[in-house]
Amino acid sequence: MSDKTLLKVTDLQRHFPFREVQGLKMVKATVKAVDGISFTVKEGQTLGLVGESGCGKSTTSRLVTRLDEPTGGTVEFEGRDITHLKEHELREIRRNVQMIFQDPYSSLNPRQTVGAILTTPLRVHGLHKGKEKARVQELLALVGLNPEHINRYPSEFSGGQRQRIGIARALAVEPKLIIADEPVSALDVSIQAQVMNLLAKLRNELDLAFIFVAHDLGVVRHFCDQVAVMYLGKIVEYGDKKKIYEAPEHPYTQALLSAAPDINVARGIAPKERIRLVGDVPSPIDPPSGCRFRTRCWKAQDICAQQEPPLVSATSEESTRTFREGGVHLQACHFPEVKTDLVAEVEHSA
Amino acid sequence: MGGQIAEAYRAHNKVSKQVAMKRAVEMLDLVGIPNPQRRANSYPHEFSGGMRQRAMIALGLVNNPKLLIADEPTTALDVTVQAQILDLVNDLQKEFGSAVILITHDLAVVAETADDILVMYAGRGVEKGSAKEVLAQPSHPYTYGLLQSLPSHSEDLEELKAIKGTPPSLLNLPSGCSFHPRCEFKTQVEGDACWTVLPEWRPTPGLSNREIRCHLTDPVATLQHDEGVR
Repeated sequence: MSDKTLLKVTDLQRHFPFREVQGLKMVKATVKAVDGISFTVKEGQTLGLVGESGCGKSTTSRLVTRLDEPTGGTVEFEGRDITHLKEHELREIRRNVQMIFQDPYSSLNPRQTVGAILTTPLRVHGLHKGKEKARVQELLALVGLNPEHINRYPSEFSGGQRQRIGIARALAVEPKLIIADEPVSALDVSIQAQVMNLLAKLRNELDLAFIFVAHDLGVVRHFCDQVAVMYLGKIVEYGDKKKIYEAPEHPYTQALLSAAPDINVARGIAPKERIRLVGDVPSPIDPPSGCRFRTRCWKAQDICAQQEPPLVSATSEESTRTFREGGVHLQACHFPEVKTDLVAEVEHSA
Repeated sequence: MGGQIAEAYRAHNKVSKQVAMKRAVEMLDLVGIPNPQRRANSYPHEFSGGMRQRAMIALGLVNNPKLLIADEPTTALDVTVQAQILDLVNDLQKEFGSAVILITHDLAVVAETADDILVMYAGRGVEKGSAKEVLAQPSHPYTYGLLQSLPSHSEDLEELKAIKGTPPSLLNLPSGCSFHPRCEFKTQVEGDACWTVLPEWRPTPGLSNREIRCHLTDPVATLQHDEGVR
């Protein structure tokens, strides 16, 4: 891992305007899917984005890959502002930033052979001219598939194997950053570990940076260096994985960790303190004023409705300033408080 | 939503629509739907995911069943809502005294909610016993492999201990024990039993209240030895 910043996202916003019928009137409304988030990813580093549905994880990944255009803020890749690049200008970025999708069934064209699926990105970018087939077979071997299966169709593969094809397609153009949007959540439990191991192996061998989007806290803990916890379009807590899991400061992060069922209960490790939230995530169309989490928060006071808490270090102003360089712990709550007993300490055999 | 619950109630009880509707509102209240009187007149699409699952539970419980079968009841829900629903199922189970069959792929959910567990593979049970004991000390290679493959079982960033291969097609099951093509321990069984003989249920040697379908002579020792080596 080097210290070079690959991706820098500043105050990123994506608002979806739409019209809604209210009685006899058409009213303009806005879904604030992503509403001012900032983070950086360095070369070879892995950032985890976690949160519940509707928190803006997937929209964030679509903005960073520029499959969608931000309505505010900037995205810089290797120092170049790519926020509003035109389609033809994006080609080079597309080579460097690739995506792995959640559903290995709908993300592969069922009418194309694996060979065709993997040759297309090579043709688009003019890579390995005349030697495409050799490169495709090399890619298949790299992700643990039989290179002789080049002429098969996606339907002839299992879910785990299809996800490997999706991974091979992302790797075909030798990207520097991979956005993986829930890459294992559609797979069988016994297959998830195989695909996680493959991603970890590729990350080490090819020195890839990842943005890893997932709702499974265990998988994120296993795979990521930094974690950003999102709630209703905002980052509420950001920091090194160890900080987020072992000493979370934001009440939402604490509730999320506490809500995840824990297999260690069966190993006789005492159930951690339980925090139970009331109700569902509010609609991003008209999010609560001030702190967006206040409607479900047990600490909420008047100030929470009036002022939006900034994403800062709970302990010192110094570390807020060094945030851009990474390696710190930030949270956005008016009343932060460390809790350390939410995730059971796992004893390791062997 | 109230209409659907009332309909289920009237199918089994000779009562008027008004009485059934009153019962439906009670049930919605019981499963924690705020303002049940008004919500009984809402349609499902006006409910959030967690509220819909609550309404489903109300529907399932309206006739005081002795057995409630919950098929992946929280898989489509977010974790904070999942926790609410599991708590609700636990509370209602105590209140109604119903038995619950919880069908899930999530071992952690089982660990926190179930009394007993039946682990299934390719259409057959492979291990059964007390949920906590099975998850703490599995005695079938498949259960063991599943637990080993969880990220929470590994040190950070080290390789996960995946089960090799993929689940077989149910149209064309492997001969003998269905798990044998993926089993790491089949070489420790004498002869070719794993390939040819479907194992019958038998008590796990050395453990009380536990049954498995596996040919290993001493599965507990074999798996413990393996965990020590890893």
